[in-house]
Amino acid sequence: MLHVLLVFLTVFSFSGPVLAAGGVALGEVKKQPLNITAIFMFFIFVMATLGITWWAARHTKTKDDFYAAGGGIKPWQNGTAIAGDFMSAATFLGITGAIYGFGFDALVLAVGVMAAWPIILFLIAERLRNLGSYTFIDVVSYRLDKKPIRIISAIGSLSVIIFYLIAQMVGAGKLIQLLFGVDYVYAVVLVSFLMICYVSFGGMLATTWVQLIKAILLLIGGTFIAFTVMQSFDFSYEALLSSAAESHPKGTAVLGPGLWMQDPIAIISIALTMMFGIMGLPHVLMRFFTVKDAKDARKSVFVATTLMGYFYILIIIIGYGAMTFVMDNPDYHDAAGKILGGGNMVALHLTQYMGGNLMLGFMSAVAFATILAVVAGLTLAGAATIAHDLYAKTFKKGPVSNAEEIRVSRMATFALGAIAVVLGIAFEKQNVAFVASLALAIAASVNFPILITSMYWRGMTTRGALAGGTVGLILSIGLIILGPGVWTAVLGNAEPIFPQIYPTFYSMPLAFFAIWLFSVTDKSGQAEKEKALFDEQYVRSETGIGQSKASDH
Amino acid sequence: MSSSETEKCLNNPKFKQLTRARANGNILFSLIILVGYGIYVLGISFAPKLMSSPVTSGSSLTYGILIALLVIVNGMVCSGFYVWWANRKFDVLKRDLLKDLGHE
Repeated sequence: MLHVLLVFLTVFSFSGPVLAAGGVALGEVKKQPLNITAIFMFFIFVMATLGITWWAARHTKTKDDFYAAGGGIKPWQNGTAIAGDFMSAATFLGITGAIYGFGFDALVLAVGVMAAWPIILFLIAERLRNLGSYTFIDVVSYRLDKKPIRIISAIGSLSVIIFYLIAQMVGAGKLIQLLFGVDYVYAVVLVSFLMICYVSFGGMLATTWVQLIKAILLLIGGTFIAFTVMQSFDFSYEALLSSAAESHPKGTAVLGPGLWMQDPIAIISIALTMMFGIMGLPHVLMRFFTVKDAKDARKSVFVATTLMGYFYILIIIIGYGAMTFVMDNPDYHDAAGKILGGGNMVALHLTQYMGGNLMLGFMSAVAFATILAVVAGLTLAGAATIAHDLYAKTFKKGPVSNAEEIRVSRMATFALGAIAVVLGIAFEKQNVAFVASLALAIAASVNFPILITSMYWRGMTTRGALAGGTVGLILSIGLIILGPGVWTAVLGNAEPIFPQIYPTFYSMPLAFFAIWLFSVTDKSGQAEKEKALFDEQYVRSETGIGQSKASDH
Repeated sequence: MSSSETEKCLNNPKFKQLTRARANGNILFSLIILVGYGIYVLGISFAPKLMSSPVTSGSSLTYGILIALLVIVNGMVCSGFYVWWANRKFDVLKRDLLKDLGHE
């Protein structure tokens, strides 16, 4: 997830001069010389994934296939793909770089994810699978007035997707420039082109396999680096940490909180955003419809949680290991003592130190692959929202045929690909940190509250959902604009009106409050009908009777 | 699903047993996770000194790092245990219920 990396960009711009050695800055990126090993390995990956897309295209005939791979994905495959959504270039490069710079405080980015996923397993995964067919919006609109609910949820969903896409594209362009020595514009166009190929021809089946393969490659690479790091400390965690603290200019402060965040409200706000934002990410929720039934949804979350937990433990080792092996190493610093390529390169410097140029090429290729896989998932979720929720279910009068809906999805995919390129180029020189915080904050303040209340609270009415969604949307966007991410960093004002980067501490509870207030005061006949429909929804969510059927591949 | 069918399912004792078991399990497991994450977040917010102090004197393993690792491991263990338990308990109850309702 690239946003974490960008979060650190913001953090950096507000915490003043932090550590000379540990700057996690993407701002000034110099083009690198062509990296032949990396390009060769990336070429193999692209060929393999295009082959898979060709195979997947032959299995993608109905909209069921396109959006949900016909429900025929196995739990281990789905679980690995979900984990892949979280084990991204940003996790590998961004969190490692952040641990390298700030030590302990950066762990919140990993710990928040590991608190969110079990809750998704207990409260969301099975009901979501039982109630929906392609997107989480199916579930929200199950017993409510479909049109307005689909529109407000689609706005929430598409905002998350577009903001996330911008952050990914800008990060991708800079990263590729750095890793491969390719021009920014070419990099952005290449990412967009490949992503359109995967999604429009191969649909969910290709998107899942691309994510799956990449996740396995990243796990192999990460395991190798963490293993060699632990080996050099005779597998003593204690030795790893004390050596890291000795190498870092801040000493033992890297083993405890305080280097990055001190304000309790800011910490709680980022913790809430991480945890509940994840529960409202449309491209992740969509993956639950790719498996046969609720039981398989349950199993896939277990696979995903285990793989992610394992990967985060690796990342912690890699981050602290880099303090020992990269911080004092003149090979990875320029004449002025700055780290080559910026803080995001720390993990790759460590890779090179531990595994030589071949391993560096491999991990660079995996980092690129990771961006492709994540943007493909995002674009597919966006295409599904546009074609399924907006076109077929809201604006088009009368029934929509399979072929027509797939055609609209493909057009939406092309449009999103083009938007991604245009915005990626437009935002190249901008500080995009606020964009990334927007995506997660909107997910936590709009999508999550209406999804969870629609599943669990009989009393929720259309009016309540609309009010809650609107309040969440306006507050999350508004407070970010008034906050340090936009008001000072982008608009150049001296003091932010709202002091925190993340608005979630206020926007999420207020969204819930608005849902409650406008539902209980709703005395219309429509509201009574909606409440009466809860029984049927409840039975289906618990038993799966009437759930959308799966197909085999 | 017709409303009479919904009615029949809601009144079935097996449905009540299933939903009660599931609700209790879900609340219990969610609380374990939330308490763990809560300790971590509130710890770094309000007790940073404690979180920076070593677990045993002279050690470089701090309470903060230990708790962070425990939250990660806790997430993995709870997910595994929940899935194991749900596969044995819910799925058996659900199969019986669906048979009663004539759905399988």
